[in-house]
Amino acid sequence: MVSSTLFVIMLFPDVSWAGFTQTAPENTFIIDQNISFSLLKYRYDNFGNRTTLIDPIERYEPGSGLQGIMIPEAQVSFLVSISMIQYGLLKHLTLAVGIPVVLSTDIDLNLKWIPGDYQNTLGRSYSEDDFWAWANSMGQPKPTDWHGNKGVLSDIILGLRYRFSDDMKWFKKTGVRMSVQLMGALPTSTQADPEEVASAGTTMWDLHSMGELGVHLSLDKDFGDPLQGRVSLGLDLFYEALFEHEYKTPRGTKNPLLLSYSSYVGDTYSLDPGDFSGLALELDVIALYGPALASWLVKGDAGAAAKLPPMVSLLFRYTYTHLGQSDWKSQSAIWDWEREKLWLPGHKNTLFAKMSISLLRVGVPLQLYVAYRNQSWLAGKNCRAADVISGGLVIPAKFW
Amino acid sequence: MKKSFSVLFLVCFVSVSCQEAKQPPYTDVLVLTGSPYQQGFQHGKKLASKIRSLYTTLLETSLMPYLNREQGDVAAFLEEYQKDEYSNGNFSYEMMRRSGRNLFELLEKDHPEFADEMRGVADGSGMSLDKIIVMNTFADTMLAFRSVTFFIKQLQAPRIVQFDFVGSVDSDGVDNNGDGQTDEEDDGTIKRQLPDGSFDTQYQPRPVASMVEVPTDASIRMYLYDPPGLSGFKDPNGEQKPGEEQGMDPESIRIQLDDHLYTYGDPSISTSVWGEDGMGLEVIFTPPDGLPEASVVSLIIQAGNLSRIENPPPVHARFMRDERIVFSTVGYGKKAHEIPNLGSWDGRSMPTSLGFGVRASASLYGAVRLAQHFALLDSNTSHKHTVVLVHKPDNGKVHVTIGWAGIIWGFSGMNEDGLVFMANPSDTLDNPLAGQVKRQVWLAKLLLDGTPIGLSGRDLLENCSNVDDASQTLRADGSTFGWNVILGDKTGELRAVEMDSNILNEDDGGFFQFEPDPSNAQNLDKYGQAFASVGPDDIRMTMHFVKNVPDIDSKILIFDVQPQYFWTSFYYRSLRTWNLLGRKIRQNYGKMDLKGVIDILKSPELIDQNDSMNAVVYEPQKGTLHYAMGQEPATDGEFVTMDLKAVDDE
Repeated sequence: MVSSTLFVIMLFPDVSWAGFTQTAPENTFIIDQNISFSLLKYRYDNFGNRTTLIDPIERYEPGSGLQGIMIPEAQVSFLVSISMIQYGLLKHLTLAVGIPVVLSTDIDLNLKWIPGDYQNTLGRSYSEDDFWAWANSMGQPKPTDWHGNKGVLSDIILGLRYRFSDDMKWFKKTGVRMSVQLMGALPTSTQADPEEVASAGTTMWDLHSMGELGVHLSLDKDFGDPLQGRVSLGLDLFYEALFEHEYKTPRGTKNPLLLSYSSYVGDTYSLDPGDFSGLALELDVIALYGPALASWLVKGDAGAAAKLPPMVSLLFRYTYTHLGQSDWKSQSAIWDWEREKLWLPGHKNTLFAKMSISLLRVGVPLQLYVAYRNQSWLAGKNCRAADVISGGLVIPAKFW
Repeated sequence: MKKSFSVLFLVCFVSVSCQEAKQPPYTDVLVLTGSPYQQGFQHGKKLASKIRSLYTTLLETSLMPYLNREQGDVAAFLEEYQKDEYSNGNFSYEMMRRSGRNLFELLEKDHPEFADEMRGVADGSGMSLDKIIVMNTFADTMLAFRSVTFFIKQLQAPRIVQFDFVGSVDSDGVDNNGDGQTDEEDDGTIKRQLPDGSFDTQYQPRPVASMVEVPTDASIRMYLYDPPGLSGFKDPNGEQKPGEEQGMDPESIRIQLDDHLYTYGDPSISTSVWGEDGMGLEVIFTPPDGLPEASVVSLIIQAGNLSRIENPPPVHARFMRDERIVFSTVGYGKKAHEIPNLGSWDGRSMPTSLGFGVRASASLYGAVRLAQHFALLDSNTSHKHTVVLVHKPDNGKVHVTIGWAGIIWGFSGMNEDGLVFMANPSDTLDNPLAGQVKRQVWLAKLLLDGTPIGLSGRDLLENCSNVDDASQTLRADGSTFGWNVILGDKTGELRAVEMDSNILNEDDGGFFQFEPDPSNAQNLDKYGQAFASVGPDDIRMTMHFVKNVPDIDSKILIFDVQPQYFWTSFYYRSLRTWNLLGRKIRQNYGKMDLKGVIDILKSPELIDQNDSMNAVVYEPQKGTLHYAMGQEPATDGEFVTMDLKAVDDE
């Protein structure tokens, strides 16, 4: 700890305070502890219309017309802890390890019911209770809300970022920085219980926010006068792949009418999710430099403190993500299609904003941030629109 | 390096932007050759996935659980179904399996080729023979079983016992109720004609108007009665059965007069307890604005009793079938048999299956065309498993059937000689299951016999060239249930056949035929009208009998075994479809080319939006067929043309 404080001043000697191309200084750790809460209530269909996560289900009784329309206004929330450690292997080469742990997942089905036709055998239309009594008499219980994933590990993320522009004259001259980043996921997650109508796993497919192997090519540019270096723009191009995995097919042990698939789908099926590709545009703004104190952290050197990150900075990012077709492979092409048609190629539009408060300039080795990511404001296509609020703290440390 | 990296990135982008998944074909066309077993094996192997899928989604997770709910009613009457092997949700599967096995054993003797073909399907698909047998026999078994259970329900449900029009009906100088008397005391009462030709005042459903020239200020009075049911409302120990309570519930009354619905509490409806035992209800309905003059008026009546039965759920009373009564008001001028029971749409009842044929003067340029829209049970799955099977047997005629994966027959088909077969079910208690009950009472087993209708169709398509031969084959095969069949051939012969199982061994053999030709009295009803033709060159059928009336009217034990028109829920739906179809044919007489026939099939008022299964037009003179299926309703899709002769030549 002593060594870390002694060398804090060396953390940000000549790098930008933000952007896609940021790396950790050589032999330095940056520890980022984040808590995220995501809420998923909508999806965008093939026409870009916002709709419920699960399509309304029209139920008919043979020969008796419409029983009613079941509308699952489901909402899914994840509470996730992400612990990330970045380490500067070289001056411009950073290795990162992220350990996401799902603290809880809650699926509220919110089943709504619109009564259908008058049923002459009942003397009334089916109420919701009538319908589930009817279904129960055939062996199908009413699906219930699901709560689970209490402290369940997701896929561990490994990343490597190399900022290759630092030693090139043209880049120095123009103030442009570029990096390439590789990231991959270790398969440490848990799949959802196949026998539950509503459940979620902790795989990358379940979280659907990043791929299992990805490459990013990024660019940042600082702007000097007349903006006095307060503004930076970034561009990130990315391609992230999700790999094919095998899943157990539901056998209908808990939901015999809704989930009896294995007899014609096979005991297992494969899912090759659609890959992600796209670009992100980022604007970083220094809102407040704040005081630069001659604190213990900089050995009383106020000039050195002035080179530390600004006290308050803002980040705004827009990301366009193209979603590839998800491909189910089983013994039944019909069953595959019933799923694939909900995961046709599409895209998501993501807005992201983050405010960071750095206390380094006043002698406290800590950064705090809050962030908000939104996918429901701008219409997408064939995607689930998860909105996420998160907060965290960053501690830089150097041990040798 | 930089360049190659950019190219890699571009490739990645392009690769994810293609390969959009497409819906797999919901209709397969198979040409099957060789021995029956070989044909079955090819069918099973090619469609193994779809056969499993259809079995699971239509039978295992839909129909079987649905029928399991009937076990209580059936087991209360038939000992066999109280056994352990029918417990734990196995009732419907075991019932269908055993009935199917019974039919299979009969096929082994009479049509071993079909038994072999089923074995081939089982071996090719890897499914058990039992399941393939169930798939190939469940339609026949289910329909007969449904008839029996529906009838049992109706035995215990309220009913209309008398229906009167109150007003100046008995002094208007008109025979309003058609009993041959004018202005008699009960001229306003709908009457039942007995076999000896006499009339009584018992209510009877009719395919035409029940009353004519009703004064516009008439009130309508009906007497409803709640019978004690199969074995009363008490168990053998004298205890009240759970939820059962005899007596009419006045609050359940619903009366739809043309398009307007009146319910309990409306000042136009008054009720009072009726009958010596107090289990009846007198209902008087006085239309608030009177009845429209010189019009045909439709009434739909519904009522339930006081029971609150919990099994099968949901909690419900016992309800009578919706009864539709049609009558004319003063000034309309037509006789009762000239006024069809078309009725107003109730807003929910779908049209039934239909079939029709046209030729000569009915068809443009005289071409022979037969068409069917089959509708029965889709459950959001049947339409994904449709199949066109072309059979090229070693011995027999090349023929095509329109059906479903794993099922070796269809409800319609055509052969290389231009013979066409189309079948629609027609509910009847003159079926083998009721026959078993008649013979063995509570020891009866619900085992079907006869040749499943689709296999009779295969039989005649494989072996016959014309309508006469086909008709004989149908008769010889015997009937598993009530079926309405249209036969046609390239010579222009059109024939309707109404079949039942003739469990009473009546002289008619349960086999009734008629054709469009109005010069033959066999084709005309007692009023001299063609049974099912609007002109000399058309014929149509839906899901009720028009010549085989009554299909049965007898007693089994203490129970009246009534004709279909008394109890089946299809009756009024079918009547309406039949009348609407007749109207369409009349409107297009002489103008019907292929498009004209398809346009009739696509008429919205003739389409079951929920349980449509396939639509086909056959042109036997050309040897072509045009089918639409693979979507719900079937007629929403394009009609695909197949030239059977071309397929045969391949």
